[in-house]
Amino acid sequence: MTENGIRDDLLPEAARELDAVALVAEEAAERILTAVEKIDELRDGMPENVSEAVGEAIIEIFEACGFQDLTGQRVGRIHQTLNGVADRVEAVMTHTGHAASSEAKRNRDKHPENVEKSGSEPFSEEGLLNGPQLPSDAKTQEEIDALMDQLSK
Amino acid sequence: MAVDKGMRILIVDDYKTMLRIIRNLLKQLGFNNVDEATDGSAALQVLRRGDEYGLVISDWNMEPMTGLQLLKEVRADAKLKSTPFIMITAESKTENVVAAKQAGVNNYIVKPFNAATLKTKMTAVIGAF
Repeated sequence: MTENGIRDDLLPEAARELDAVALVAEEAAERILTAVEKIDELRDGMPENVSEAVGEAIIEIFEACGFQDLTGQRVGRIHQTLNGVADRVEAVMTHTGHAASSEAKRNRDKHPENVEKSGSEPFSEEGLLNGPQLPSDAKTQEEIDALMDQLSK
Repeated sequence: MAVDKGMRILIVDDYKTMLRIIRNLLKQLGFNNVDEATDGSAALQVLRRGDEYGLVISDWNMEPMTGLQLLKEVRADAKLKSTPFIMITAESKTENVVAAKQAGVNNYIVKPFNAATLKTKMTAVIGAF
């Protein structure tokens, strides 16, 4: 595949697929939440022990639905990476004398929020906006608690 | 003194699903007086309307105003500065925790989180319930 193909077809297609993943995740989470909220409303008519058990299961489902938030944030980070790759491809094409197409810019304009995030200074505390770390890198709640305790002394 | 479960709580997150999750978890914990905002500036408008909030639970990574900026604004506002503030975020780096602590956060929860953690941190901040 040529640089043109990477810039104009491959990267925008990858971005569209990512958007589709994020949308499906959001729709699924919303449907699950709606169903669970209906079950929660029915708990009033249940025997106490049943209501309690159902309540515990409902809480677990609510907790699990947090996947959508993290999925969305990770997709946003991959968008930033794709934009970075597109910029590199553009730079290579410019360097090698290929005429720059505006197609890549048009595609990136569809996601200005991600372009802005990858810009030089979208927030005053930009260095602190990294999104979710990979599980192997992320601190656990216990590590966060220990750090908070340490900072409180 | 027992915590008033009728207290007004403001939850702030740019993901509507997360707002819905936190609202439902708070409901399971017995807190039903919950308002929502989708970024720091919207939250600040709500907080400055005049209603007293017993707790703010905020995400960090939002636009145009982040949770950290919201926290700083709250702590700099004479009427709001003592409002309990919990950050719930996927940002788990040491520098994030330090910055939040320096800005005056009362507690810090890393995503993904569970209801037990939310209850523990709320208890630490507003008292047992």
